[in-house]
Amino acid sequence: MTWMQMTRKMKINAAKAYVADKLGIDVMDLTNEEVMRDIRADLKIGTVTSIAGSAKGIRAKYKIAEVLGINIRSVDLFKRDLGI
Amino acid sequence: MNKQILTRMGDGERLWMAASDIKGDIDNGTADAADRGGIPEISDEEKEHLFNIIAEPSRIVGVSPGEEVIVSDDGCSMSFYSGQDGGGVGIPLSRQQAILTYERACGADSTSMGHSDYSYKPVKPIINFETGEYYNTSMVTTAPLFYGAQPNLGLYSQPDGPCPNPGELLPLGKIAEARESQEQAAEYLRDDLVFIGKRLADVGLEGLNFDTCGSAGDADFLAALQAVADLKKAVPDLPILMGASGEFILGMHGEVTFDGKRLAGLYPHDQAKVVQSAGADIFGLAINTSTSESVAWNLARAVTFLKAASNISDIPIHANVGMGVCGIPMMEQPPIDAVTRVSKALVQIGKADGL
Repeated sequence: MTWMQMTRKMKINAAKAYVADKLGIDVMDLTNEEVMRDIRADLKIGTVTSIAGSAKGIRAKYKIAEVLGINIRSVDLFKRDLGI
Repeated sequence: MNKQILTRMGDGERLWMAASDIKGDIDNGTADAADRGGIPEISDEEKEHLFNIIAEPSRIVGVSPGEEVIVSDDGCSMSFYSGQDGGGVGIPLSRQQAILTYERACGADSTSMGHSDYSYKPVKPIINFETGEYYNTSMVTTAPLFYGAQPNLGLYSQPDGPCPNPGELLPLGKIAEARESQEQAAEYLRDDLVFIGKRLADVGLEGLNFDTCGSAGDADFLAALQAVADLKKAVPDLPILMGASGEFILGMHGEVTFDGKRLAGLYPHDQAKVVQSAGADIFGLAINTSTSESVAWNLARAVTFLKAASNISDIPIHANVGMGVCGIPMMEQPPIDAVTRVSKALVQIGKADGL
């Protein structure tokens, strides 16, 4: 939701609806740990507990930008540097 | 029977208040905000809702599932390694370790880094250190990472800066000279904010926070607005959070304008309009806490100002909930009972998009 406020100036309810739609879940489940845990792992957008070899940092942000359809400036720089 | 409710004063003192007194403070608090800001009071239904939040018997209260909002911060991770004067707990951690601890152990929605002085002026001579550390940290963080500090126009006045000190000129009746000095200082500040913003943008800055804008008055607020506009022109995709320092822009200059709007005396709903017109993506709203009034009085004022700003703003609004702001008691260790009641009311009644 923070990314959507930062990149699209979305108010909180619009940001929740946008993210929930992209994840294919109900708004209520955005804060449902039982649902979000699997979604985070499946989409490789970063899990709360650390799993060896799992996405975190710039790898997770790369996927977050992809899933949400937004530009994250650090990711854009990373991609430019790698020629992606 | 007039039920007694355990609550707080604006300085954090815990006391029992009669329900009728709390209701009276809510009436007076919202009336005070409405009178000062020229905005509507909260409705009778909202007053009752606010009373119920304050009167909840649990130590900690919260919003219902689905009503949660996000949290941004002004150097919160510094509190891990700084001392009492920074609200810190003194753990020997590096900046990067503190940011990652805040992100991963505390579940932060966003994180931030900044210079320990937390003003932009000292960042300029060490910009290469800051861009280096920002870049390194942004490679390992997952949540949005802001760079933040205060514009802090006061640092541009003698003896700390190059401009004659308006605080010394004004008591001498040198009004024109004081204004001229502030205008010059504001130009220096604007240049520094833009310089630092651009340099950080070059290393993939995810978001910039101009925090506590207007702390030295209207010229301070003006420089921040101009810098936002300049940066949005130079780096259109750079997200910027611009936060205020108080509920009322002090007219230390008195005549500076932005987009034809005089800045001195603007209350939050008008501050939100100029921040939005400058191009900022998020507005941070701050309402002063009176230490000699109850949390009920202070919170009623805060939600009244916030609701008016939320209704008028097209950009998200984050209500500042630091020590002594938006109904939080003015003390270095804000009590959790007050913090959670304030947070709940700001979201449910004030319609905050974040805290």
